[in-house]
Amino acid sequence: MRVLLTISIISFIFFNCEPNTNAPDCNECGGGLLDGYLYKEVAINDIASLAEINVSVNIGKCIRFKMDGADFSEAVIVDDCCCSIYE
Amino acid sequence: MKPSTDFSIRSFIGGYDKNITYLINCNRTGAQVLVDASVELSQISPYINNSPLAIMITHGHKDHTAYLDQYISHHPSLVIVGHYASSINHYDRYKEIHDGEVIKVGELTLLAICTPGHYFDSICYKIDPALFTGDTMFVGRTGRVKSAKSDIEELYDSVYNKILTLPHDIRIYPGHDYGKKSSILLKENIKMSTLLQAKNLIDFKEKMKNYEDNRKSGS
Ligand SMILES: [Fe+2]
Repeated sequence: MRVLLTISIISFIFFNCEPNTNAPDCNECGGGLLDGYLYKEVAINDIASLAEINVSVNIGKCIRFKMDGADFSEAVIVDDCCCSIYE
Repeated sequence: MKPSTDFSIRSFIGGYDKNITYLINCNRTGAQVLVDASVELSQISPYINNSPLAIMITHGHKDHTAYLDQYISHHPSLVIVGHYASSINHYDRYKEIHDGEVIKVGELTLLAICTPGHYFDSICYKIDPALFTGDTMFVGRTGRVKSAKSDIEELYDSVYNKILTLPHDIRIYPGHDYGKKSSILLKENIKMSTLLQAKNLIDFKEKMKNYEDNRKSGS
């Protein structure tokens, strides 16, 4: 039987943290999700698809992009800091 | 120099089975991000402002997407982010995500880490120092592999090669409140969970079988 909890429990945690990118001047990332953009480090599989829209970029560089199905519709090279939240 | 980004996380427990929806709030820009649509909007509404809003879906199991239509009807500009092959990818404002892609909402930056296993479309979202794990990892154990599209070998790979390789002081925010507390540091979770102490895949399969054999309903 479906269980519905009638009492909700709310907890609240606050983080005072550094910017999510490590570089102190990571200001040039451009529009984000709400403008339709994602970011990623270029992988070897991306090179051909990026070449089709005339973007020439090395593996490992950070791009801001939009997809159209499996293909890139738009991509620009941005500062590495826009993708570097792993470190 | 760019100022620090303060953000807060509120967790809302309810829905089908002690599910948790999270609301991340960027205190500088007001931008907000939800994780999963598993509790009624009325629980969350008092905390939603008029700023841009996006929702990250951890996987397509119905309890995690149950209230998505309700959220969209009240917030038509909501951007939905989830796995590219998820069953919910038909929504107009659906943004397909792949492993390693970075999502920026205001000054909030999240990293998508595809973690198939519990379900084929499972994704964890990392926003330091937090990791939203959906049903891939709970407090005290990993997720189960009971769905038609579950795969224990993929779960092992996801947990051991993608989550346990992250810094162990990251805090785990799971999709259900099944543990002794609702969130936990990864290093504490490893200490208390035999499923996070497997020596290899064979050992993990044995530990999972042992868990299932001794499992009490609702745990
Ligand atoms: Fe699930």
